[in-house]
Amino acid sequence: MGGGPATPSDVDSLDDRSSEDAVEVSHRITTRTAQDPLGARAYEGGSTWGERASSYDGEEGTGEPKRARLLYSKSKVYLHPTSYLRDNIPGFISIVQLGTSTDYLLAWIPEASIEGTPDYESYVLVELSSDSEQTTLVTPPPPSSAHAFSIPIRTLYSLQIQPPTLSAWFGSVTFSLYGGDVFPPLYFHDEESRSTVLDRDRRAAALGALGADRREGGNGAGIKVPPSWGGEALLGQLRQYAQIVRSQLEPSLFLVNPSRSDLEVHSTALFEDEAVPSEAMQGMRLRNGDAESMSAGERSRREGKRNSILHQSLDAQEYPDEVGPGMDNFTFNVLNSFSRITRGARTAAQTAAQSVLSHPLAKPILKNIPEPIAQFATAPGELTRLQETAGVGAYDAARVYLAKWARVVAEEGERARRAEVVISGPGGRAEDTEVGAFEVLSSTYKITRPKSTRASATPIVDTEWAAWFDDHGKLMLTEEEAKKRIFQRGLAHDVRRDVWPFLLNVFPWDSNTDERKALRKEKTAIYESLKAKWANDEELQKTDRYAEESHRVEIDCRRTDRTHPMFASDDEDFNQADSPHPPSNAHVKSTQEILLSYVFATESRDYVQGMSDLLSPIYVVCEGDQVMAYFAFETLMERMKGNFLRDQSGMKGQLTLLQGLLRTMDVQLYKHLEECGSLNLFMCFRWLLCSFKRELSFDQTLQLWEVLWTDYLGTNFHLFVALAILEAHRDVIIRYLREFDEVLKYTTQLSQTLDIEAIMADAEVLFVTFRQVVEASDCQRAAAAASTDPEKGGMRRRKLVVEKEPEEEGAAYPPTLPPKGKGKEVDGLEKEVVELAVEEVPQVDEELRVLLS
Amino acid sequence: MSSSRRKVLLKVIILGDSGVGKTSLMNQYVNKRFSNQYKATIGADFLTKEVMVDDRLVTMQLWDTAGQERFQSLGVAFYRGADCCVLVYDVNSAKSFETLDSWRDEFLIQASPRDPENFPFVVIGNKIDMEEGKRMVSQKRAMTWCQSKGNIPYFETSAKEAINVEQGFQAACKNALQQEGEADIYSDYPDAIKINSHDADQGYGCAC
Ligand SMILES: Nc1nc2c(ncn2[C@@H]2O[C@H](COP(=O)(O)OP(=O)(O)OP(=O)(O)O)[C@@H](O)[C@H]2O)c(=O)[nH]1
Ligand SMILES: [Mg+2]
Repeated sequence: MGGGPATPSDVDSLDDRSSEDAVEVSHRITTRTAQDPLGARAYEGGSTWGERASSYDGEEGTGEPKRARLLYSKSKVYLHPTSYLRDNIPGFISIVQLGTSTDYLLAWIPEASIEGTPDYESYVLVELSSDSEQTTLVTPPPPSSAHAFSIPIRTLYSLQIQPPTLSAWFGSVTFSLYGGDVFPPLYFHDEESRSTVLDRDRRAAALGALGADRREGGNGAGIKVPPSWGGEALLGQLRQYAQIVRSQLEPSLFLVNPSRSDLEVHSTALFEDEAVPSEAMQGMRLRNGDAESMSAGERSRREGKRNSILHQSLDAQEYPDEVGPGMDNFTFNVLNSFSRITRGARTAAQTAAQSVLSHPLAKPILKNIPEPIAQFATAPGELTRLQETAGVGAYDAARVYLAKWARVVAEEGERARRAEVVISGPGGRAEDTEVGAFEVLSSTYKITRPKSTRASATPIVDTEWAAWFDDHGKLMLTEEEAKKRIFQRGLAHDVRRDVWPFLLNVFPWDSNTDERKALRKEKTAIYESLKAKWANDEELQKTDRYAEESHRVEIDCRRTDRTHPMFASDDEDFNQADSPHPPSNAHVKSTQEILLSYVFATESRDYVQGMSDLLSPIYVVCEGDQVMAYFAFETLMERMKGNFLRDQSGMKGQLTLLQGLLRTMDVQLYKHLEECGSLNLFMCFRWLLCSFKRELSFDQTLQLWEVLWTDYLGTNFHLFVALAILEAHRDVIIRYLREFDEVLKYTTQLSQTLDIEAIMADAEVLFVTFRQVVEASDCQRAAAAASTDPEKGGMRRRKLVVEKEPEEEGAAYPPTLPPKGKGKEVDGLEKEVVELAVEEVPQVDEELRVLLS
Repeated sequence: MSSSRRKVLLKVIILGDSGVGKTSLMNQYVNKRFSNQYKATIGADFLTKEVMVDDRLVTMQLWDTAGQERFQSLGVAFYRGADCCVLVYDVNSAKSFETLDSWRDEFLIQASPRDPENFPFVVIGNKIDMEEGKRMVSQKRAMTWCQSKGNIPYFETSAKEAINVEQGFQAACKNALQQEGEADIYSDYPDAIKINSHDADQGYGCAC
């Protein structure tokens, strides 16, 4: 993929400088990471500054390295060459001026490269002195090399900025240059950075002042609050040397000295809430003093129109002459074009997205916008194919429509990526993305990345299963070992019939062949009597209860899995000439009998919708053996009966657990769902009620269920499966969906699109992660109890920063502070915030611990 | 903006016992087809359809719900903001007719519309394609009930044979629009509170 245009408008050529003088630096770095050859190799395989970036040596022709004026410096800006913490390289990001040149350089050097030199002190000094007019001279930063860069600011094309969130610990900035080079992201470890710690104190002070100001009725406008994290500080600095404009297309993208055409492309919003009527459209944005800091942008996005796009687009198109007072022309146009996407069938969406993104001007930015959207620019043939995969119907709300697209396209991308990994072999950054869901979590909790132990490529086959038993038909493995293997590898289809009765406790794991024979006989008798209880009881059959239950069971069985070969045919014998029901057959009838036997086995049971879905796979695996299927089903119902309680308390309990899990594991998604009014997780209701059966193909259902039944990772593993599905779609959900109905529609339509293997692997990783989080949280609590010094509680301190974020959101602040008047003094406020923070340490609710059992 | 010029999104909830044909009716109306393959509805789902009513383009959002009573308690998540409720029963099942009362009451409790007395309902008796001998609820009986509930419009349909389905839903749509009258149809929308808290949103679709 290409980067920015070949050159900035005002730069003719860039020198390539020999990288000899960078040898020392790279050498040092190499030794640092030498103990991890894999990681080092992985990094070299990636983008390195030495090979790919243009370097620059200031004034041409002068061999003597001059002293450079250090204008800005920030420490603890890290390169993460691999996913291992130990490989992270701390460095200084800086802005320097060579001589009197107005060509300012942006540079990053590893701390190690200047450690022990006077330069090091200068960097630290400049970092700590704010807005100092004092001149500090340093050795000019080395040219770009494998692990350092220095480039003129004017060669910057864009910055991709990811602020830190509670779920992504380190904010990052990725620089792209004209010519297409993209540097690896730099991560701001602000907790370690002197200037940010300093800033924090200033922020606390400003916060106090702001509070006081409010109480006095002032507007607080005069108070300048320092930036909240390093990336924002850097952005603020860069704004002094270049015009920086935030893209409307991709809010995390900031264009540096954008050309007119770039401005136009990036001011065309795809979504109405990003369509902040922008001065950039008229080229009016000023270089400096731009009020649009990161957080302000964030705010305007959030305060944007939250009504469903569906409603708005309808409005816009229907009455184009009547533009409401709150709607300027620009917004109107966006809405109007959106309504075309919404309403028009397939081609309109293609055209709309393509016309924006296939424009030659859009090319350079494609790499900077999210893959799903970028893919809109692909060839029309490709689009049609993707569209078919997505099953995009004739009509969907615009967001759901786009979200579905995004998903399919992302999945395509993932497939392509996997194919690539296979080609390039291990050592790439494959493992980072393989468990995408983990990405966010790992940075939140600073825990090691677990790996899935699943090896589904080698399911247990019949010969192997047979080999686990001795001559008497007694299992030689322990029950735990057998379950573990089943969890990790799954079962080949033809062995399921033998294994499922064990998994579902029809046969004890330690039984032998004779015992099982006897059991089987016993159970056959029991089943026959259960069946006779309703089938031979004419009195019962006259009751309302029977009429109702048998009606329910019948209509549901006749609607269950009728595409499966066993249930697909219809059989004359079972069909009255004119029945309101779809035709039936012997197997359908047989499942009805099992369900009725289950219902009438006790006085208090009744049939509840969803049960027929639970029975059908068991029945199929038991190959129509009613006795086996009945007892296996009964065990399954024991596991699941909470879901079917009359008062729905079981389902509510499950959804509550899932909600708590989500809050612990991905607070960003949690908050987004909250904003969408979807925190009831109603969209997961069907998933849980019948254990994902409606979401998966028949075979996938079998694969998942046998894994769930091992209880290898607790009896609530299905909630991690649910979380894994949500996580796999979190980006799409957060980015595209805004309303309860949109979220519901999107999730419902995930049905039959899921990759169950990936989901199970993710679920395992999430489970282990969660366990680590619980442990971390316990340690944290113990540590907090042991120490009253807030400076010592790592997580607490972290929270302190997080806690202050709402401040930028103006009206939203203070959402959690105690009533006014309490934190008058700066001191007092600081203390309160700390106390709040302690409460908000990612603690794991006691109730959630059940997830580990 | 006068009410007639407002954009229109109508939220229609379809209720009735399990198996009466709610999913079938909705699909017949929106997708013009009938299938034997519909599964029992679990949870809820919706389809949208655009219709012209007296030169107005209206988007109907049709919510299909699970029929078993115990799942009704979840209804609150999507009943709110409803503009019309379609009650469905199976003309071949007396039971499904007798439960209409409780479906209606429960809906009014959970949706808590502003004016429950005049909230627009439509009643549909489905599966009239079956032979006459099977019929358990007479037209007269159904119409009497509808009259007693404030003249609810009544339709007899077959989702299977596509009889009268269009008419039934169109009536639902018209009634909802009429009901809307001068009232703002968005005030019942689940997001109403949030929306109104942002001044910026008031320029949209809301003349108040
Ligand atoms: N003969 C006939 N059968 C119908 C008609 N409408 C639906 N059915 C059948 O009745 C059964 C139930 O239909 P559904 O549409 O799934 O019923 P539902 O009301 O959605 O049921 P739940 O989702 O369980 O609440 C299915 O087998 C349909 O094929 C109809 O008009 N005539
Ligand atoms: Mg249904």
